[in-house]
Order: sequence, then structure tokens, then C-alpha cells
Amino acid sequence: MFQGGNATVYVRDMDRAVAFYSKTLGFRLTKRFENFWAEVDAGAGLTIGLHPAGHGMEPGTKGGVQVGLIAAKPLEEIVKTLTGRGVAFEGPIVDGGEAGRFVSFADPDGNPIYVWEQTALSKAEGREAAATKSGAR
Amino acid sequence: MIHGGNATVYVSDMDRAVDFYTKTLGLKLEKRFGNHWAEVDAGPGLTIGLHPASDKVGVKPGQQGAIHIGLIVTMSIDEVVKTLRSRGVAIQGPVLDGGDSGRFAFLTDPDGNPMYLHETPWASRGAKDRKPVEKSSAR
Repeated sequence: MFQGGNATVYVRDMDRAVAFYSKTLGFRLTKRFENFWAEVDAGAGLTIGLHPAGHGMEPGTKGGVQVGLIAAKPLEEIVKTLTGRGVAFEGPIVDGGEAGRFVSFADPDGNPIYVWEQTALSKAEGREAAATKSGAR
Repeated sequence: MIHGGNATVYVSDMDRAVDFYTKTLGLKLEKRFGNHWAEVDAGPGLTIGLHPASDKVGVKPGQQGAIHIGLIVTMSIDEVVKTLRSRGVAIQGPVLDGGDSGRFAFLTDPDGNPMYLHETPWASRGAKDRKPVEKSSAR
């Protein structure tokens, strides 16, 4: 049903956040789509995604860090399967255009999780990351 | 300095949470140490850690800070703290000694999003010495 994911951190300033996660902490920047999305590889078991705040996600508050899961099948099927297992989804599937489609729910404690159905573009690595691939380590 | 980690989710009931992440979501349980800690493998790029909420950590499930980025250090946590402080990172409080579970230091990113550093005792002693209490493979 899922094929990996990331811990998504919502930030106010993408350049500042990318500098912190890549230069200060020393992680490799693997994707950067301008100010829409960036990913750093923190090593075994952890990719950190960086996304600008907005849409009700405020940095440093509840929902400022979310579990992101990547869909391995169409979102409608996943929603159907999980609804059948008692999961309550928050709102409809959101179409993010080139970025893909998204749907959100919470775990039994109310901790936020989203599922991301990627497009060919959002699977790619983005120009800036490719250019800085040697990266600060 | 740091290699790997997980998204740590604080929960109120470990059995219920492990059930949800493994049976409901179909992810694989990798580690379970009683009600102290569990790890679920979500596939490439994501390990989810489950930890009981406690006053010691100061977070409540479903509230701010209920999901932390956990980072595993590859050298002495004191050295990592020193290096990060020299880069302007504010580390919250002293390094905490968690006994058998290792040592921890808490920090935030520039936006106040919570994370912690973890010096694992099993990294140096060999993870194989610590067998998970139980395993399941609901996928």
C-alpha cells in the first residue's frame, strides 16, 4: 500500500531551513523544487522533507512535523482500504497539480499523517539539488 | 556526525499504536522493546518510532511536539552537541542519560520544530545483542 515516505517539517523560510538541515546538520540535499519542497537524506531510515508553512500547518506547532507516506497505489484505493479499517480521513483528496495528490488522516492519538501520490515530476530530484549534489557534509 | 534516524511519534497506548501502524496501515514492525519503544519500517526514507508519552519528555500525543525528528549520532553525543553549538544551534538543557536506552539531547530547528539526538548504546555494543521482544510482518 505504501512505498516509503519522509518526516515532513513545515518551515517559514525555505532557504534558512535548507541551510540548517544541509549545512548546520550536514545532511545531503537530495531534492529541491525552489520554494515548494526540498528533501534531505539523513541516512538510514530517515528522509526529512521541508515544506513552506501554510494551509493551516504552522512551524513549531502541532502539525509542524508530520509523517508522510508515499502511495504505492491510487489514493482512492488506499482511502477505501483504510476507511474499511476504521481510519477517518480529514477532508477529500487534494489535487496539488504537478506535485501530485494528497490525503490526510490522523493516528489514534491525533498525530498527523498524510499520503502522497507522486507524479513523475515530484519523483524527480529538482534542479537545485542536482546542481549541489556533491553537497555539504 | 549523524547517520539516520526516525520520525518519533509519542502515543498514549503502545499496543494500540503498534496495532494501528502495523495492522491498519500495513507497515512492518522492526523493533519492540516492551512498552518503551517500537520501530516501524515504512519503506525507503522513513522509519517511524513509537514512544509512550511521558512527563519526562514533556509532550502529549496529538499536540505540539508529538512528532519529533530523531537523529542517531555516530560519535560521542557530547562532541556532536559541542559542534552544533559552535554552529549556533541552541541545545535544550544538558545531555540526558537514559541508562540502557542511551543518551539524548533535545534541540529545535530555526522554526522551533522539535528534534533530538540519540547516542545509542547498541551502536557501539552491537545491535544484534538486543533482540526485539516481538516481531510481526503485517504488510
